[in-house]
Amino acid sequence: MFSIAGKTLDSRFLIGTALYDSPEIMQQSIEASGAQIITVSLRRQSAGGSDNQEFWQFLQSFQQDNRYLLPNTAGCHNAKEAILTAQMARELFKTNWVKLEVIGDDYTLQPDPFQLVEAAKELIQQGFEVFPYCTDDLILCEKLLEVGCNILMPWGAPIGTGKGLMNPYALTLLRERFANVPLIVDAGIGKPSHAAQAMELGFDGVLLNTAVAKAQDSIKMAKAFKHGIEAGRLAYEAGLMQEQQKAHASTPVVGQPFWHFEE
Amino acid sequence: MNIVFNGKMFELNTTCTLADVLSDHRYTNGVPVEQAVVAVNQTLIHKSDYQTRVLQDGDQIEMLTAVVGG
Repeated sequence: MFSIAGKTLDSRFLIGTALYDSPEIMQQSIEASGAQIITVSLRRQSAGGSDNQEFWQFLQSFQQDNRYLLPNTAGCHNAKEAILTAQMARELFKTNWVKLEVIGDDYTLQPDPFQLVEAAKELIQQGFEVFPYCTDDLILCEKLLEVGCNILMPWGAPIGTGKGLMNPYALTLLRERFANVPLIVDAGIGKPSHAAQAMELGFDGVLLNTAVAKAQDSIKMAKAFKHGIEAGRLAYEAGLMQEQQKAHASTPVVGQPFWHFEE
Repeated sequence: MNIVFNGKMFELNTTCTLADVLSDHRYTNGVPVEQAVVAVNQTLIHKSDYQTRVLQDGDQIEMLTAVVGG
C-alpha cells in the first residue's frame, strides 16, 4: 500500500496514455500495468476526432475503483502558461491534481526550475495538489517543498530517452534528505530494471510512458514494469546487503573434502 | 467583428455569446461542450459563464479537450 495526495493505492506504477499504437493497446496496457494513476493532457480538437470521443469515454470509465487522472501541463514554457493550463485541466477533469511541467529547454525537455517554482507556488495557493516534474537538483527540490509541494517527481533522464537513472547519487541523496516526502521517478526510464533500481533506492513510485508504449508488445511490457516495480519495492523493504570489496564464499568451508587441502 | 477560435480567424456578423459559438460545429469540430474547456484571452471561462460572456472584437478563444499525455 502506498499513500499519495491523500489516496491509498495498491500500485506504485503511474503510467502515461500517449504514443501507443492504438487506443485498444493503450487501454489493455494500462490494465496490465495495474496503474491507478494515468496521465492525460489538453489540446485543441482536430477535425473528425472520433479517437478523442473514445478517449473521453475511456477516461470516464477509468475513474472508478480508486483510480485517478493526473493531468499534465506538457508543452508549457513559462509559469503563466502552466497556471492557465492547470486551471483548464481542473475545470475539465474535475481534479485538483496536476503534473506540473514547465519546459526550459526543447532539446532535453529539461524543466525550467525558476518558472516551475513560481508556477507551483501560485497553483498551491489556488488549491492544487502539485506533482512537479523536476530535475534531481537538491536545492530545486527544497524550494518546491518550501512553496508547498507535498510530492516530488525528479527525472531519471530526459523524457523519452530510455536512458534510465543518469544520476543515482543525486536520487539517493533526495531519498535521504526527504525521507517523508513521496518521491516518484518521472521520465527517462527505459527498462524494467531501471524502474526496479529506482524502487530499490527507496523511491515511492515510477511514472513512465514511452518505454511501454514503444515496446514491441506494450501489454507485455506493462506487465514487465509492474513486476519490476514490485520487485524493487520488495527489495527495498527487505533491505539490500552491503556491497563488499573482497569475495566471501557462500558455501560453508567447514567439512570440505581432503583434496581441497592438498598443495 | 473578428474573433480567433483555436488559431483561426472568424468573422461574426451579429453579437454572439460564447455559448453561441460553442454550439456551432463550424468552430468546435463537433466537440461536445461538456467534453471541453474554454479560455478567452488566456483566462479560463467557467461553464456557468458561457451564456453571459458576450464576445468582443479580437477575442481569442481556446477550446481544449482531453488528449493522451505522458
